[in-house]
Amino acid sequence: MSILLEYAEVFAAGLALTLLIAMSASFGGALVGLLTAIARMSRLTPVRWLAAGYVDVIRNTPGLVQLFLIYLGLPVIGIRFSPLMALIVALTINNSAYLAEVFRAGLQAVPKGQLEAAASIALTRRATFVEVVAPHMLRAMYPALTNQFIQTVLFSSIGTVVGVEELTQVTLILESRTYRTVELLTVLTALYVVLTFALAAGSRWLGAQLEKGYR
Amino acid sequence: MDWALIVANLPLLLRGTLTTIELALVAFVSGTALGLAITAGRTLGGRDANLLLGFVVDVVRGSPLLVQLLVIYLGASAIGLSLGPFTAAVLGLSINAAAYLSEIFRGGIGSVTHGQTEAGLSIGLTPTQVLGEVVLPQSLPVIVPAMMGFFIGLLKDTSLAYVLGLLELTRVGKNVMDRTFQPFEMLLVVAAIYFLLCFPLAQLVRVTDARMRARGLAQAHV
Repeated sequence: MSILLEYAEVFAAGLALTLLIAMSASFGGALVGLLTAIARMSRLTPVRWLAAGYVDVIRNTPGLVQLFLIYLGLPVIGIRFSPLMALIVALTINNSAYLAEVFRAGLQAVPKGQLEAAASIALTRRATFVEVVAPHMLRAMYPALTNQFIQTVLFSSIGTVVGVEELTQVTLILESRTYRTVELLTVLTALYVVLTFALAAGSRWLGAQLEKGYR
Repeated sequence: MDWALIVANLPLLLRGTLTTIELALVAFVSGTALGLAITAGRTLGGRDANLLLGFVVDVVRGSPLLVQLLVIYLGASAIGLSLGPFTAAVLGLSINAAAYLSEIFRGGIGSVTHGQTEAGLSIGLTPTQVLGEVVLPQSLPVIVPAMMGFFIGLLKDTSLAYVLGLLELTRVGKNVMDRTFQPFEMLLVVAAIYFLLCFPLAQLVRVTDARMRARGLAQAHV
């Protein structure tokens, strides 16, 4: 493990970029995913179909191929991204399809009786959403949302294929320079595991705080 | 779209598709066997076995599949074992699948009321019999759709074997692309092939899920 200290700065930089990528893609994915989920409930049939088609196409093709399409395919029609931007865009699109499903399930998780109750005590539409619908949705979606974030952290390792210097790529660069393969790969795995364990523990703690209001 | 180019390279792409399917199937079968063994060990093996296996499962689920493939491929060659890319990919995908599938099995077992275990034990079945003949069969309505959904994920995940240089669908598509300088067409064809493999399966999962839930005993506690 001495190698971890020896190259501490390299690992820290890689880790930071990995987190930055995952956070950007999760934020962007949540935004696009929310729009997609809303579009799936549209009154206009073509809009509904388009949104459903988008989700199906993204969910049934590999993220790596999506990354290649954005990084290598789009330049053909004149859209060029740096490797980092291509990775963030690809992960954002990939995330959005999965998150759209999470949001849809979240909306369906609001019991009808709650809406009727809100109406019967004459809550405004705004108050109904903020006080009744949003907490139900958040509670129902919370585990799926945090899990999706952790999956994105792990999946951002595909950035190595296009040369983004996230955690996996910086380690592979070190490996090609030092040939300390076993040590480096052990440290790499350990770093991801510690990171995801910490994220899982943090999300469990936050989830428990969320649940407190309901007991 | 340059159709002639696509048609000319179709045999190559189809061979890559076969490797992709082969990889997914082998990893699914061996992952299921290993996953069942992990679940059996965790349920029947006492507290220490449960903790140890749980930790192993968490480590596999807590690190990227891409890294696991590299660990097996590069790690093996670093300690003087030379694995071919296909063997390394099968090993990595199987271990990864086993970890996720064992959690699916565990969730399925949790969906069967504990009264079934007590009833089984009280009529003199061994714990192994209770697990294999009472609990697992009743958890199938929860387990089967989840396993099918996992298989779709596995089909897509085989594309990560790209990094080992294995000639599965993604790598073949990329190679053809590099040779012909037609990135868009090739990548769209590759994506379309994955879609044709995964989308029908996804519909099948939906139907199976609804059917099994309708007549099954177990209910997933979501």
